[in-house]
Amino acid sequence: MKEHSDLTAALATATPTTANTVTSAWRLKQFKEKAIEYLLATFTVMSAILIFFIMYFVIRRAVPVFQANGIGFILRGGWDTQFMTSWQAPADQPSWIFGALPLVMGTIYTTVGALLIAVPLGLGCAIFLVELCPPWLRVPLTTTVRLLAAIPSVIYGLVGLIVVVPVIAHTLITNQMAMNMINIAALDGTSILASMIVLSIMIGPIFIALSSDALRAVPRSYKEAAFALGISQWRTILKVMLPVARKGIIAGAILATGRAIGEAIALSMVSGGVANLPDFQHGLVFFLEPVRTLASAIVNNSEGMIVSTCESALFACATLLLLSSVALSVMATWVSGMVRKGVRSHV
Amino acid sequence: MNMGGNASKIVVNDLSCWYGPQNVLQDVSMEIYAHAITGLIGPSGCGKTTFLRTLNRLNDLAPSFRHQGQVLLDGEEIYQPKKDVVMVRRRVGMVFQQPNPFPISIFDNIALGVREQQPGIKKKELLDIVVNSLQRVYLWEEVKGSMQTSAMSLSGGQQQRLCLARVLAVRPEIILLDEPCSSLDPVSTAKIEEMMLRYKNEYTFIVVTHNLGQARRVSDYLGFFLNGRLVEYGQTIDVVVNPRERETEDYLVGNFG
Amino acid sequence: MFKRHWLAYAALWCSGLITMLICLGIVLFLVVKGAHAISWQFLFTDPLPSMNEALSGGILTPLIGTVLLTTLGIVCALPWAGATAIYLAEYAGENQFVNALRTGIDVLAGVPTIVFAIFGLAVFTLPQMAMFSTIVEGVDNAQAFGRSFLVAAITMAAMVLPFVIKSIEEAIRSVPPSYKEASYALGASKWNTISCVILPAARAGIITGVILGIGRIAGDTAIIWLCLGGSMNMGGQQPWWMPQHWVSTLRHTGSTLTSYVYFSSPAGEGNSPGKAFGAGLVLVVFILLLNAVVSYLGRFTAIKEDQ
Repeated sequence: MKEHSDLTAALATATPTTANTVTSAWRLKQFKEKAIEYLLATFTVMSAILIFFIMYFVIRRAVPVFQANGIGFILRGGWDTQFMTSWQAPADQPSWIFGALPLVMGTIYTTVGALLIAVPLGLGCAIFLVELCPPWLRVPLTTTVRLLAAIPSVIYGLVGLIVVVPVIAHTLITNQMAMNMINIAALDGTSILASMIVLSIMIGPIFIALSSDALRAVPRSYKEAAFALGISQWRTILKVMLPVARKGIIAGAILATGRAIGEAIALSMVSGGVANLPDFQHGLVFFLEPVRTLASAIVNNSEGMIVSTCESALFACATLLLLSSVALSVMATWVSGMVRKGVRSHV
Repeated sequence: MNMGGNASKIVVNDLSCWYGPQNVLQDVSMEIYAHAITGLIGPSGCGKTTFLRTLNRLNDLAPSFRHQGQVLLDGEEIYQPKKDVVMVRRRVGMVFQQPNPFPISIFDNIALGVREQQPGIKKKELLDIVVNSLQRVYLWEEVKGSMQTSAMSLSGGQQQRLCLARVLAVRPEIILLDEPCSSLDPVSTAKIEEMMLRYKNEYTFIVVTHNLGQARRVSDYLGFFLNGRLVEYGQTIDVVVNPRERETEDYLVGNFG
Repeated sequence: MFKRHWLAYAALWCSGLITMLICLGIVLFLVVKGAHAISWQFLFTDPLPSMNEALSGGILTPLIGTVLLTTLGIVCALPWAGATAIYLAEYAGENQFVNALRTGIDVLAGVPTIVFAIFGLAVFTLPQMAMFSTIVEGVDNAQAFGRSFLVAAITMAAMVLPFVIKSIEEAIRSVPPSYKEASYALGASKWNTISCVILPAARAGIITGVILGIGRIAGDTAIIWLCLGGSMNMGGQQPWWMPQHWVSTLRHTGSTLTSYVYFSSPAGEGNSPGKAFGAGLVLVVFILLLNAVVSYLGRFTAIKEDQ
């Protein structure tokens, strides 16, 4: 860069002769082209390293909590009490003890639960869309899927809170159940089940879009070959289309997982306000217990930000979210990269 | 008009086809004889491939496809509303212009169709069928050490022979070949021709080809298509040596095509 | 065997129809619940601090907040995303370094918005960043408040960046190479070709990217919650709309439709679900209109390609 600016300076002061003017105008133009390219490259590099910037700022503030708790941060429980203790602790005796196990498990339970609903339903919908859908239904169906993807999460949270949560509270939770659980958590309908339902509706459209793309990318010649072997349509889907589209479908599921893990607002509305650790030993009541996820903890506990211990704990939650989302993205790119390579070798 | 003494396998009566508004076949009538090789020639875009694909109802995949006329397979209309199209395709197999093996192992490529048609087949029988089919297309010696590797690692000619083997393995009565050798090396082409000649008493072959030499070498009957019409059809020797129609002659001597 | 096929087909039809029914259900529910909250008065009065739903006012400031924030956010994001997209589509080759850049941007797309929000807070509470918000008074080590329209807009810009980059890059790539070749053949330089031929030709796709970005900004709540703060009305010097107070408005907190919905829902403090549905309906209609524009533009380009 330095060289170039020296050059222009030199050119600008040079006495113009006819021959020189042509060259200098040309050089100036070359310089402008180069300058633009460097400028654009700078922006590009900035976009790409933004992720490291985010990591630096988020992890830096999480370090004290990780130092104080080590791996115990994700293996120990007691988040709610610890948070209150730290919040109320006098400034000269800060309390650095935090255990986010309930949040981690809450995130895992709700995410896995949502995938259990969204993947079968979404895959069915994608197959239907690509293979079976009559032409008159195709436009309405794709439009609705796109619509579902466009609705903001706070709306899903609102509908979940007004519809799903009361339905669960009135039909599934009995007084007996609530009495049994009274020492553990209040069963008011905000629960794993409500989170699963709301989350699955939110991640469904992404998964449908990505897996139907993968199915559509299966070369038509495979389908024709299977038909010419006397294999029925359903068996062709099962034995040829799905295996060929497998990697794209997996990549879609991974990206949907990332979305589910990071959803904060809707889950802070329907998952329940306590960092309860549900227990499988409670049987089906497990699904009716309230939880709190890593993302919704940041929203619900955000008033604690003004205390440095609490702030650091929330940044530690964000660190877990950030690292897992990066891992999932890299995994998805890796899987779909294999798809791309695979397709290239087919051709 | 039985021309050779073989029984007729497929009878096509006044078949016309459309893709949307475009008429691609007009009033085609022909008989395909059992245990013979029927060649179909003609310039590109003349409707040969469309004709071939009506014989196993693969054109059903195109939503805008429409047809008129009859296609009788052993005397039964294959376009009857209640006809099970899967059963039709089990009797009429097809090999395509571009080799299209599934992106799975060589063994599974052949086993897939066999397992679908004979669920619960014994491992030993399955293996016999796979090996036998590969031997028939002269591929066994080349791949016997690598049955579990992906079919995608084979060369183009090997892939096409694999596609042929997987159709042979499900034992259809009729095999349609749509320019099977147009993208192949001479060795693979010769092997495919040899296979057809050797096994024509077990199957009925219908082969679309651009290659007049190939048509002469392998086919017993030859049909010439032009602009969606079947211009001439007869025993290969008659059509080639002594064509009745002017257009056929022009095509054969290379005035167009 | 065929009976099993029948079941499979039934299951596939069901999953398609269930998806449609869920969507229709949500939209209808929103319309039914929200429609009677909406009136001119609802749209054009400010929210009032009252626990009584009838007295809690309308959504004028949240509505303006959404428009203000989306405008600011996309204005921040567009030059940045545009420059990156142009570089990736026209200058960058296929090598390890460019692949690494692309991976970085892809990874950014997967980062949850709540993480962007907390990142924004981490950056903009630094004392050096006080110009974007305000200094918290009465704290020993001077710390910026870190919540304002400017902070939220910049954070939003970072959040939508990967999506806008991707759609602009796609738009640029879909310009037929013949346009470029024709321009080079006339002796135009690379940058002239890009600015005078390629970008105008990719106009519809670029607008699509911008609208997608607007939709994401308008629909996000997590960043609003942490980076814009919780007041229902504009936080700066009043009246906030006087030109001499604009800077102060931008440096202070406010609300948007999403934060209004969150606050008014039973999860927040307002507890007026009727109004939450009203505001939600306004928000969804806004986003659906944006989507309609996108698909209209998409159809337009598709037709152009056909010809």
